[in-house]
Amino acid sequence: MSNCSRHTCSVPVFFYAMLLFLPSLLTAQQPVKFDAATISGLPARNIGSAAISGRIAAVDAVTEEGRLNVFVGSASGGVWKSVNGGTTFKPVFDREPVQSIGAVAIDRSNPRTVWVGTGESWVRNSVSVGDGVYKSTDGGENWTNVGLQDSEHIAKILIDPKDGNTVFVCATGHLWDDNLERGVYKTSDGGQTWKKVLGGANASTGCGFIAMSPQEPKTIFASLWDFRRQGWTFRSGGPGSGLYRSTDGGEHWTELNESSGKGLPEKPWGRVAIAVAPAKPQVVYANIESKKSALYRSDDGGNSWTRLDASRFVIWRPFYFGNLIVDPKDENKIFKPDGPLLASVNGGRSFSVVSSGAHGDFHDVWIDPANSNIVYATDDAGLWRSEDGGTRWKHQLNLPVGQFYHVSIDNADPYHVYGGLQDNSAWVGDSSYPGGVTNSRWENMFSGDGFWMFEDPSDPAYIYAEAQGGEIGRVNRYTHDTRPIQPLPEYGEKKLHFNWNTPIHMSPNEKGTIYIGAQFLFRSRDHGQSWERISPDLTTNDPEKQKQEESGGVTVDNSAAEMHTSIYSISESPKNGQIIWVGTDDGNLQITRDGAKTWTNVVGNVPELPKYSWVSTVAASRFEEGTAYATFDRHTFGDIKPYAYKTTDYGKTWTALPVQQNNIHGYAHVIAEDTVDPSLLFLGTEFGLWISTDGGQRWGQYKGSNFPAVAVRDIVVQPRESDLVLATHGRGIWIIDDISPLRALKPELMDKDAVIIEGPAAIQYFQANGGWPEGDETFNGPSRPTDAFITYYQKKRHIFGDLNIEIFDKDGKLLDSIAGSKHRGLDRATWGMRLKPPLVPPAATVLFEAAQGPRVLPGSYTVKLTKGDQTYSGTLNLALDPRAKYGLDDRKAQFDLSMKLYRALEHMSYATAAIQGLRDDANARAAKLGAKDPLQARLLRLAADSDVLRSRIVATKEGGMITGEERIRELLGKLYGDVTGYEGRPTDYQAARADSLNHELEDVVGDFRKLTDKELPTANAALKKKKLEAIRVASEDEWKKQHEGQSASGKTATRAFREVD
Amino acid sequence: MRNYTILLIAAFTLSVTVSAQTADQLVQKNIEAKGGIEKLKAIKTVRLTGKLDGGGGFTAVVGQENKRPNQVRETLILQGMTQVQAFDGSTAWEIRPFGGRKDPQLMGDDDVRDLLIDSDLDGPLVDYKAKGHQVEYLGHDVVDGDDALRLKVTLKNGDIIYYYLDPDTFLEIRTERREFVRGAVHDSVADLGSYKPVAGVMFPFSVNGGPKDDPTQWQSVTYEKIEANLPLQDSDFAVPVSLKPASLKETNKDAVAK
Repeated sequence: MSNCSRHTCSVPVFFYAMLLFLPSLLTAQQPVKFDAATISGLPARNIGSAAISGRIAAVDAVTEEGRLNVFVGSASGGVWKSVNGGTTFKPVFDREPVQSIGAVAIDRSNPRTVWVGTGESWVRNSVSVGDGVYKSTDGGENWTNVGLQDSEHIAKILIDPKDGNTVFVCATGHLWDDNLERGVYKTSDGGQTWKKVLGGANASTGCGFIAMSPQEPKTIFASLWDFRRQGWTFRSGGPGSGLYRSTDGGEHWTELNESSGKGLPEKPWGRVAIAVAPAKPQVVYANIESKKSALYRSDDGGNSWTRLDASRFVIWRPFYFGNLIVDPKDENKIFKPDGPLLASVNGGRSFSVVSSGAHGDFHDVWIDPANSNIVYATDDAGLWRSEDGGTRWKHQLNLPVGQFYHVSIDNADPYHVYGGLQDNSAWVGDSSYPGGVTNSRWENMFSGDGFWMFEDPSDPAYIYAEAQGGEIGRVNRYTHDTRPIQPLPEYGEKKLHFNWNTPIHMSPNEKGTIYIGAQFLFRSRDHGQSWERISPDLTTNDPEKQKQEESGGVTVDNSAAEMHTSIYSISESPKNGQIIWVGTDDGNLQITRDGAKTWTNVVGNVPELPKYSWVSTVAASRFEEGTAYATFDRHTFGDIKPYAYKTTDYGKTWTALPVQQNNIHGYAHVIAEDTVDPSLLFLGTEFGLWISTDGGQRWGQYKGSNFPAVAVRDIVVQPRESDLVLATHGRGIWIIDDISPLRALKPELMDKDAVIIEGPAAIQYFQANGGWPEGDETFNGPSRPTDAFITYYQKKRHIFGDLNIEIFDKDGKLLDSIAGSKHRGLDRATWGMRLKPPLVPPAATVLFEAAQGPRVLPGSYTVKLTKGDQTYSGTLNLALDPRAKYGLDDRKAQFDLSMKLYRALEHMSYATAAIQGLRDDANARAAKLGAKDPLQARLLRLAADSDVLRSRIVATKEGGMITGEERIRELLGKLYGDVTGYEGRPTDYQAARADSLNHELEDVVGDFRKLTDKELPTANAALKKKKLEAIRVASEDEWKKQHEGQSASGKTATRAFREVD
Repeated sequence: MRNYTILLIAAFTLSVTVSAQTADQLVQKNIEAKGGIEKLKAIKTVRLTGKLDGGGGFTAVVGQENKRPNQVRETLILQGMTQVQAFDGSTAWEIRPFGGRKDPQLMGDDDVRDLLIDSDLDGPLVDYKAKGHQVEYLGHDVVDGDDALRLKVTLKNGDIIYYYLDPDTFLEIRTERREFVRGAVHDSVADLGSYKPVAGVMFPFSVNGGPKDDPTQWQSVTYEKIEANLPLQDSDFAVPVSLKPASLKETNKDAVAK
């Protein structure tokens, strides 16, 4: 007990004594820092694809200085901005902790101010969550969270056109549980304070939509929406749903219902979309979900209503298509986003489908108020632009916001990436391609929503892909011929419970054996011709969670998205095929150890885990057969914290991995082991990627290459390349090339000041060209780097002094020196694996073919890292491209000829320098003589003769045009470029051409020697008489000494500052 | 195919930053970390000489010369040919010899943004108010997961440079440039390090950067030598006579093409 007066405390003496020792104690006990910086020095690359793109929830745009600035709010991939009407987009929200966007609003009175409501409000089963309202006052450059952090979903933001500080937020609120921060909120001070001006009758009611006319901003219409989603059902509608009107800027509200709004339908209602005609504020539209769902129109500001169109797509899926947009000038033209995009030009009496060739499942529309022909529409496949008023559409192919659920890889080189996306089928893409992974390097293989997808390892011509609800098919990757192979119910069986995101799993032990899970586990060993039902019902089989036909609330909605009591994760042990793990969406964790004869539910052994927690992943270890990992996702119960566990005894006991203690946030989707290091684990959550190198005790968030806080739904390590491939749900596929250095991050290594981490042999990939200019409007993802990785670790950020990396051959000869990164933690430098470029004589143009040195031979090289006064060494191995049809002998022949040409170029450089030197010296001496001096004439003739010789070696016609002038230099350079550019055996012609060009060069050198032999003795004797310095031609050895260590510039830098050749 | 962007150096050199808990405090700390305002101001000219590594084995010699108040000359040397871009305080000109033309030309306005930034020997943070720039401190941030302090510098012309300062030394470890060229956004990133003193001022001897969204295209510049207060002449930067209007040629006989 402390002994304290009001102002002071007496502290025991031993406490001070403790303080004295505290620093040393802390030092002694403090482990080496392991955090985001430790692991984020390995770059990542995003390969898209933007051909697939992904769901976009909201769009707004404004014309500034004659240009159209477009802001796009993607469902789970952040905010993107275009300053050129969509030709290019850049992500502008990547620094923020969430990526799900529900609303975007530009302040018309000050377009530099932009508001974003995070958390998409089109609340499908896979929807992400937000953390409130953000505001930018610099055109989207930077954002500040200004409140409503617990709203999770926001449908719309309205800005008072006369007062940019007055803003209304339609906060839909939590989807999966009750919360109070929902309803209509108003700020009058630019977001500093918020007032809830319209709330619901219960904790499951939030704002459904909100609308006003800029002509009458005091009159606001808002709908409240009573809704709830659970893992097994969805309810749209309830006592809280209704339509409200305020005429005093949101201070007071009146409900409009059957009684107060003549013509409105009777309750209960579901979601209500509202629009006020911008040009005629008395015209109000409401698309009301009720037992008589229809579009309603009021021509008197909401007092009375007329029921209009109620055709199928006008009333379809109101929870997902709760939006209406009226033309800025024509109150009778309305867009209704729905499965297709609908438009009415008769005031809502009837609608036409106008989405033409676009994808479908529309969510928002923006119409240019200055030109109604310019229309942007968003749907599940991205952003579409129309220039004819919304009848024909162009897909914006530059928004890589694909929502992958899963990813797999094969062993091709480069390997392919397979995966399925929300409403965007299942695709195969190249992990790398010469010229970049463009949209065209991805190919659609299936249909519907896409999920798991695998190459059939027993016949790589075929792919397994699936759509929602376990609709699995076996697809010929060349012909696209598809065979549906889904297991079907037996006689009298009502239904197989295939989850929306049904797991399929390839056996790691039996090539070609495939599993799929409903409530039972199925296995096929004949490509789906037949399936064995190898388990009993592994779920809780709770009938209360099997009433999907009642799902939807006011409007039935049973799309398989609510299918429950189903298997969600399958994993056969790579160590023992008799062991199979299964996790279910209703919280069972099952294992069989006898090849599926008997099953044991071990979820009860998982400590401190609430019942029925969704098993998002169970993954058998590839190192120990009793070991497995499991993640549990409880966001469907309103709990967005991560849960991850490990067992080492077949599930008898489980240990919680301290993921929450490591500040990992977001519900956990996936945990994955490395393929080599059992201690290296990867965890994907709704808000990013975390990595542990000590078996899950300490975690760092991966932040390399500005990787955003996007949901990481699936993770796979490509074993040959050690690449980490990430399926993000909102930003497509990302690849961290070669994560093998993470395996070295053990405490003893991380305690060192610096160390080179030796990796696998660097591949000398083909020098290949591909692709074609597509303009700025399409996406192009980076290919794998073709330079060698040199990876090292530093305990501290390097600020002061040199940090250089040198590469030596086996004889200790220095080959190259490169700069190193200064980052704390892992660092990656790259080396082109080339010798210095050859010296090339200056001429009319640069010889780009000779701008690079020959690539060194495969083999072992020494790397030396110099950091201040410390040096660290390591080995770098280089290897031939395994795809090469040529062998090392061929490669050596290529290298030898390259070096022969290299030496020829340098010999030519000497010869040209000598000739030019003679010319210049002769001219210089002549200038000192009188015009009538015969020696001057002799020297000028000597200079002219030298120039003739020079022009036999190098092209001299200047002017920047295509002169076509080729001399020995240009011919030799072309040959050098050809030989160094292909690393197999040179052709016979190339070898012969090298000899002939060398010979031609020697002819000129010989003529030069004859000239000097003939002229110089006489000229120098005459110069001596006039007490002028003799002309001397330096030997090649002298020239080489002068140029030793000189770079490819061909001259010292300082001298070059004042020269232009 | 790699993009052998010429004069990458132009984008990244001589950025002199500063900043702290308020923007002004951080600016002051950065200046102090560099050596102090007196030392900075005492440098009248500077020459940087280094090596560009463009990836894939492509290398070139690069150089930069600055002279107060705002003259700059940047060079890239390949196979004995020297490409020049220069700004004499009012006009930017260049020589691009690699394709066979060695006569100077005026630079297009779209191309001079980096050169204009580089012409400020002290960097935009020093005397930023007098220069018409704005500086905001945006708070704690991260660079590849590691701690940094982030400053936003809005240049007088509207371009933006973000400075990421090391929280211990207050020297910049990263800059991000966002240039608005006729409305189009040009983004680039540069990581800076290997600071060493020159005439009492800390200079980054290592600059590594490129497009913000594609790290595989980054290039590095390592300076071998940085020299201060060399006797550089105005004529080293001046617009060549051949580019001057005829009426001025007679009065600018000394302006020699470089």
